[in-house]
Amino acid sequence: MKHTIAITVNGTEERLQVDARQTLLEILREDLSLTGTKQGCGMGECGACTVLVDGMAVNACLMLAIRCDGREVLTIEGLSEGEQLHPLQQAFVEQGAIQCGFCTPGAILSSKALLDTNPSPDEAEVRESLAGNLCRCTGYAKIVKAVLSASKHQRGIARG
Amino acid sequence: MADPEITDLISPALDSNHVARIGVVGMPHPGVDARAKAVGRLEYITDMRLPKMLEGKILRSPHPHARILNVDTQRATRLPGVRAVITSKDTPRLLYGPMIADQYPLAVDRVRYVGDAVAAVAAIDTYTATEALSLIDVDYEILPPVFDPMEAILPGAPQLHDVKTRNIALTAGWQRGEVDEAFRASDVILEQRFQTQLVHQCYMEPMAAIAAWDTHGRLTLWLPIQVPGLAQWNYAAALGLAPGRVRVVQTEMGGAFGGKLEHSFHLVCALLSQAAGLPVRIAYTREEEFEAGLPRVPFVIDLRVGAKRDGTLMAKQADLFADNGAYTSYGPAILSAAATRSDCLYRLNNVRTSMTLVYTNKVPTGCFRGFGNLQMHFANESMMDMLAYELGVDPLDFRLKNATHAGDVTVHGFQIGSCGLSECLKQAAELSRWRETRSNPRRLHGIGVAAAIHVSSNRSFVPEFDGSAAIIRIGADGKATVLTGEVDMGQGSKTVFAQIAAEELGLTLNDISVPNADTDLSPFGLGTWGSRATTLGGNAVKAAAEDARRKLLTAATELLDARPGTLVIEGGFVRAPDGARASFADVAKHFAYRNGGAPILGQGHFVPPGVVPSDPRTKFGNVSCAYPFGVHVAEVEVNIDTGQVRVVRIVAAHDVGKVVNPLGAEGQVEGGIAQGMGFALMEEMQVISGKPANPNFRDYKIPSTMDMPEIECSFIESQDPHGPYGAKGLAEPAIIPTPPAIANALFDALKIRFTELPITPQKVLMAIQQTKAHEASSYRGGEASG
Amino acid sequence: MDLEYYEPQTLAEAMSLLDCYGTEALAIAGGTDVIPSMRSGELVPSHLVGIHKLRELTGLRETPEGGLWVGASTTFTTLLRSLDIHRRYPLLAEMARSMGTPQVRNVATLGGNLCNASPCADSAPVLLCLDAVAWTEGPNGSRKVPLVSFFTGPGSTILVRGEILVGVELPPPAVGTAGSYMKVGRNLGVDLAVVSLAIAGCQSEKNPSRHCLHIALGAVAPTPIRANVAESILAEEVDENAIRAAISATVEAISPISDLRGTAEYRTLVVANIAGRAIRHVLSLIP
Repeated sequence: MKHTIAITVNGTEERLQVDARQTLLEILREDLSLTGTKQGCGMGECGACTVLVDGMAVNACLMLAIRCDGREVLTIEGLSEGEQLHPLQQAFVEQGAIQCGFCTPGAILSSKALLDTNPSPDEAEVRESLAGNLCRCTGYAKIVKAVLSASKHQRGIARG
Repeated sequence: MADPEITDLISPALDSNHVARIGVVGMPHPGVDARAKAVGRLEYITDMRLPKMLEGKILRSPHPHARILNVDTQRATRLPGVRAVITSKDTPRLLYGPMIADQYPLAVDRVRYVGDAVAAVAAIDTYTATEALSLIDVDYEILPPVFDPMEAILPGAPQLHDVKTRNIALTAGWQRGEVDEAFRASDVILEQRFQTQLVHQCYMEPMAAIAAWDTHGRLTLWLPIQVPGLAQWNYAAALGLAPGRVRVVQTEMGGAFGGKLEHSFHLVCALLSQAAGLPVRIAYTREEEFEAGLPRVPFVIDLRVGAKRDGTLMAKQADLFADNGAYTSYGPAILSAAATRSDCLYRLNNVRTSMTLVYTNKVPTGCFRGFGNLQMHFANESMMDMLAYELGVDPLDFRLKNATHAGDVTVHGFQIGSCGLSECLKQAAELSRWRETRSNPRRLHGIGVAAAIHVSSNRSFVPEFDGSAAIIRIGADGKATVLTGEVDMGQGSKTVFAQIAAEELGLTLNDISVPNADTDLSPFGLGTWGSRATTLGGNAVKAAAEDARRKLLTAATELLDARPGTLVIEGGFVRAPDGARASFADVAKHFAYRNGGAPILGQGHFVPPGVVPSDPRTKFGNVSCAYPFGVHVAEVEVNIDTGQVRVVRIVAAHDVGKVVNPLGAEGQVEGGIAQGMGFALMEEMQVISGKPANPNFRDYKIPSTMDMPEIECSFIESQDPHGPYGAKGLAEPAIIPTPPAIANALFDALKIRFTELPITPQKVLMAIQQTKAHEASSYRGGEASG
Repeated sequence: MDLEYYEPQTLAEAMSLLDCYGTEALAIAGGTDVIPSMRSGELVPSHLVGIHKLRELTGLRETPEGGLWVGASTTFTTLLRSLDIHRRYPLLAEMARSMGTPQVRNVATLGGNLCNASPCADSAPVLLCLDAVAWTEGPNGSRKVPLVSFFTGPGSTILVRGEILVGVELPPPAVGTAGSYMKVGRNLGVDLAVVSLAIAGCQSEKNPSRHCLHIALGAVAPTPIRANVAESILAEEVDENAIRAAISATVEAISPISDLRGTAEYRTLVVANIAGRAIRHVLSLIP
């Protein structure tokens, strides 16, 4: 049975017909062609599918699409403003935190959720917030550095 | 005498190649495609959609060993949405394998592991394809399985392949020097068995393939693959096609670490697409990765080593047993690497080795960063510490004493052109405060060291040749495109190639693009394995850039009507002594207009000098033109209640010849350490009665942010004579020293020697318990005897 | 396989749907257990009843007695961010923080974790040692079931067809309660518990010179358990002999299995080690 849902994705309201069994990950990638969010395991263990739903980091592979009716979703595609990178994206690039790039969108969104609620995390807090984002390439060192760097940058901007 | 006007214009950075070097090589760079990845716009294979593409799924055997009596696909074929169902009957039934042809892409009459491919379905979506699998009826006759390689070689064990006796895929042995004499001359002889386990590469992007046939019967495969050239070569024969009837397009890769070389499911995808008459994609699930990927070859290694009291290594006997799994992937080469390479880390002249590759009814094993050399170094470097302890010498000093040096020809014929091993040992000692830490031991805290030698490519891997070729095209826009058959799987070879091209052409990286390999367009490449991309690929790119530069200067000379040999390249312009200048675009256009539209094409190639495939019998031979070295020092803490091990700090010193991209190099070491830690402490594919018991990330643990230690990285630049700018490989050296460094640190902490990986909290706690019990009973015994 | 999803507006409707479809239906709140189990084929419901928005399951509030009522649809993130819980039930906050990953905590619910009834359920040991009571609503009316009786076996609870867990109630925290929570996994990152231990202790109300320790364990028995015998030993005496006896009694109370996360032997050894340390630690904190 198809259900109609109204979901705001990256600021744009979408109306979609979804099956009960479809996950948010599927409709993002297939119905909306937003393939920046990745499937790494399908079980909520790797975090490659992390998106923000109403500002909260969630595994899109565990969220039924139908649950997202009336909610706001932010994916990696919604983070940059035209050519202007979000400070987190900028920091990930500059710090060399990106190798194969598959875990990157999820890691950036988890980090955004952290910085939105905790603008000056310490290293332990950054590591804890990324505990659900597995990376096999980088050993996490530069990812952590990138988040700390972005948080400093954002605080610098905030202070004006 | 130089014209004074010329000398005024020539900047001090200019070299005799007429290019102003901006020093790109050696500068940190985040990666030429980092931005695209950061905004989620890089398309990986499962992000792609070909018109009319179907989704395919593979039906896999639920039994580890069985005869196939019948396969009935009728119900599946009739399911609405299904476009093709194939079994081996729909294939040419040709045996295939990258090294030994012992596998049918779809099983013909026997299945040999849980996960063996039996049939495949192409349908309009994955739901339908999956449902169709459940409608295929297979009648099996169960056969007795064997899972342990040490049991599989015993008489009476179930035989997997009729042409091989005792389940031995290959076996060999050799001897060098005067082994028995050297043992007799040894003051200390130690023997130990070491075991390493089945682990998965766990790249974040699961494997996938897209196949499509054109109207002329030519196949195109889109693959996230490390070896597009080799696949193109081998898959044509495997499918019964004439050579050249296959095109492989390499897609963007979400990690590989050796797990994405040739795989038989690519052939299944091709056959399925052929049957359906439409493009087909097969995308692995994470569970399928564990069930039917190509995990690391497990080893049983029996080592016997002798040394003199003064610390001189005398002799080594090694017997290696490798678990091939049900079919052969790269096991033979992995076994050979394991059986030889680590011998060359030290000045050891007397070795006797036997190696045996054994079939078992488990998933076929294959290539994973380290390639057998990782497993063997765990054994070897643990044994070095055992010897040092027995002799009462500092393990680091023991290694220094026996270390290989530049100029050595090792016991297997490796010609060591550059060697920073001793420097790495000293650097690691200093940065880790080795001596100070060891002289102030703390309870439940330990420090350990391990060293490693590896190759920059391996002449033995592909019998026909080793080398690399590149083309650089300077387009009418003045920008350069680097065409190479070597592959970037996320490790950053594109960036290294761009840096080298930029260095030689005086361009910035923004002016250089390095597209993925396409066998129709790129020069043939052997691909990325054996830590070869920088050294071999980089040399080829350098040669191609030099050629492009020469051609550019020649065309510019004509354009600017200058005296030959007087032009210089600087910042994307070609300058004449009289001040006239032309942009690369100007020169390229001039060349095109003069030559019927032809682009400026630089071609270059590199054949590693002095390398030979190792002798098939004796395994002797200089297989690589440059040997990298590395040393890790690990500090660990043990939780006495739970056995959990915290790796507190790792100091890594790597001799890479020359660091081309410091940011990338650090990233390789940090990532390698994470994988090494996982291998040492937590990862294991548990197979119970042939079935994968933990085929997911919930139960197969890989290191997370919470597990990682502080890492300090240091690079020694020994300037290899054969590497581009002196550069050697790093990818695999980055992981190899980690597991033995951790094991050695644990010995330091607990005086318990762990010889079986992974060293889980359970193993640690039970060993501590056993030691306590043993000590308690000895004490009681002591009391009793008065 | 067709799947129907409902989001009933009332509790009565939800219970009715679950009762009607019986074993073909599953209640789903956060979905972090249900979705992976459906994907692996462990669970094959044809009807999903979304209950997380029901009013009766929502809320986090102080009870009239000064205790805490936690609605079943409360997420773990809500638990760990609650200032009230940090202040009055710090053990609960600590447990919430160690459950899963941030992404899972944002969505997974306390009710879901309890009803999934895994022997290693993260929330159970802490709730058990805090004497939690489960509130349910079903076709036969409302029930208040002490959590010690809620679990009946691996993956099973006392919930009958059509019955829904709506929340748990915690009694007021005793003055000067000290606690210890330990979750042991296979690595230092996020993992299911191989062994978990929660201890809450305070001065005995009846006799200030005596102590009252509640000891609960997870992943070492078919259900999460309380170590009653160990507790009664420590209620009498807390000298070294008593502590040793309590440790032994704790070990006696468990019946771990060997599975791919650990052997029974390992789990037993870990329990003996951490129980001793935790008991001593809690005792040292009680004024």
